[in-house]
Amino acid sequence: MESWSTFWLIVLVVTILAFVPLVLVVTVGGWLDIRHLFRALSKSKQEKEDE
Amino acid sequence: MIETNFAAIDWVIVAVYLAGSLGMGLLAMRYIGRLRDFLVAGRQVRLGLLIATMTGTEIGLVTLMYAAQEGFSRGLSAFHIGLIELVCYGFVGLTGFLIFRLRREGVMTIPEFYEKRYNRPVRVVGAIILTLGGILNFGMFLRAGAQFVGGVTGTVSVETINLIMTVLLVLVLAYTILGGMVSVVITDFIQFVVLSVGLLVATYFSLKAVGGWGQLVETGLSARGEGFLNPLAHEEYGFSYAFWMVLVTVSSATMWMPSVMRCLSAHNPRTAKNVYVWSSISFMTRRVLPAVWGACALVFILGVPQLREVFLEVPEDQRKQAVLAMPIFLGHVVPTGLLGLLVAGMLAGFMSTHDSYLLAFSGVITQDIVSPLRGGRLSDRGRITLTRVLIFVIGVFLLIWGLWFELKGTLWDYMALTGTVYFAGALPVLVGGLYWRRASSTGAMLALLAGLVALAPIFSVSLNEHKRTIALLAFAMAAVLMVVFSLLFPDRPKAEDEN
Repeated sequence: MESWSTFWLIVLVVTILAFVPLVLVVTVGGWLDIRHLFRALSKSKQEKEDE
Repeated sequence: MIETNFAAIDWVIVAVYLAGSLGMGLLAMRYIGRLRDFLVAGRQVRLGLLIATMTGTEIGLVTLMYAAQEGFSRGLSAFHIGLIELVCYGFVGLTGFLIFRLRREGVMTIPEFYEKRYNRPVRVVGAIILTLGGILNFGMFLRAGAQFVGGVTGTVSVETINLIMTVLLVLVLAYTILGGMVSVVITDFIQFVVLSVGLLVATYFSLKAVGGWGQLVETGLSARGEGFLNPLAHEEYGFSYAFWMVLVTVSSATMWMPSVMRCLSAHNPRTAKNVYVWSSISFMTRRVLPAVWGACALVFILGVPQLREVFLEVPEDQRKQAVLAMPIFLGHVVPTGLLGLLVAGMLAGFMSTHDSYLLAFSGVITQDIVSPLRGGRLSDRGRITLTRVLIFVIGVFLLIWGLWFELKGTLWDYMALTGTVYFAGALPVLVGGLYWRRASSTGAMLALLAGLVALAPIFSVSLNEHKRTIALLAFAMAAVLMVVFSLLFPDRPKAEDEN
């Protein structure tokens, strides 16, 4: 039982250690991507209106 | 009536968050021009935003509820499902299994691929089954959300909770109907940030409340036995359960419409693959952290006589549902103020799942059932209008189903079964369609229909006790039917193939 307890504790710690940086990177990257998305969609909409 | 730390300031925090989220979602309306802008955000969504929106959708409130229920009922053994999700999503991302080729096909939905590869009847039947399984799956989300809000706030009546959930659903309907996928990805991004903070806050206070990991394990073992830690020793788990979970997870990763729509929204196939690799961490997180809360809820409840009585000591038919343990527990251990932020995060998860699922399934009905039956004679404007109407209709169904249907087993088992209705058939049809030249329309049609077997345990208490066997049978039958009938009834070569 001790080994299962240790194993699951490692899984929990690894989960948190992997998740936190992912959140930070995705938050910054996602914000930049939103700006790109708006630019691209505006351009696409303009092209459609010009047609 | 069980009181919690939820106070007036927490309601204010939640209201401010919801108003801000709605505002951002409505902002996106002005960017909708074409159908592909509405359904897949013009295929302009890049990696960071894709990961955020996929995580925001798939770490929904119902996910947290059922994962926590697993932790409460089955202990830390439930972690193994998180490991399965990490491995399966990582595998799909690293190999591009199904998703790379699917993105390369340039379709907007999976049934669209069915028509391209097989024929129109396979597309329509596939779409009907996808919608059936998907909307049944979706049907419990509202009730789970209501149970969470009721549990964590502690003092609100059933009527008020239903009203709150109705208001939330109306908010989601508003920005999804008006802004489509663009609204969805923006609100999902905000919800991802808020929810991620909420997950970590809840985990910290959960472990603190029970005295740390050591105390959690000791008390859990004494209450639940060896199965609290060892999934192989737990009567509800074991190898066959793990195998079922692998099938469901790989299927979900590659074919569950709301997830796959992210893949189909990707800038290119390589980006689609990378989304899965990085999102695999989120998928593990969504299982492991709530399972900790659920296990901690068990330890906490054992120490409070009033709660121990209603959850564990009275006869089984009189007990409070296990799914309520986590929200009541968090309502007690997370301080006022932070609790409002946590609830905002959870409601964020609720909304981000609903908006994606509403869009995904209404899009499938429009694109893959109505439009093909009308011979493809539906304009872009007509499709957008129809999709919007269907979003509303599905929303009404959710209200009715959530109020009426009684679960036969745990919430996660219901999710896995309704998923199996669709996955069992879709897996061989998609694998065959992308990787096997001899896959035929006859084999595909029969494989899709085989998945309907999984409906039985959802509606029958006696069959629910054999759900694992029935679910695995559905997968096996579909695969066999696909292979046998493809070989027996090959498709006639299409004109362009002969040329």
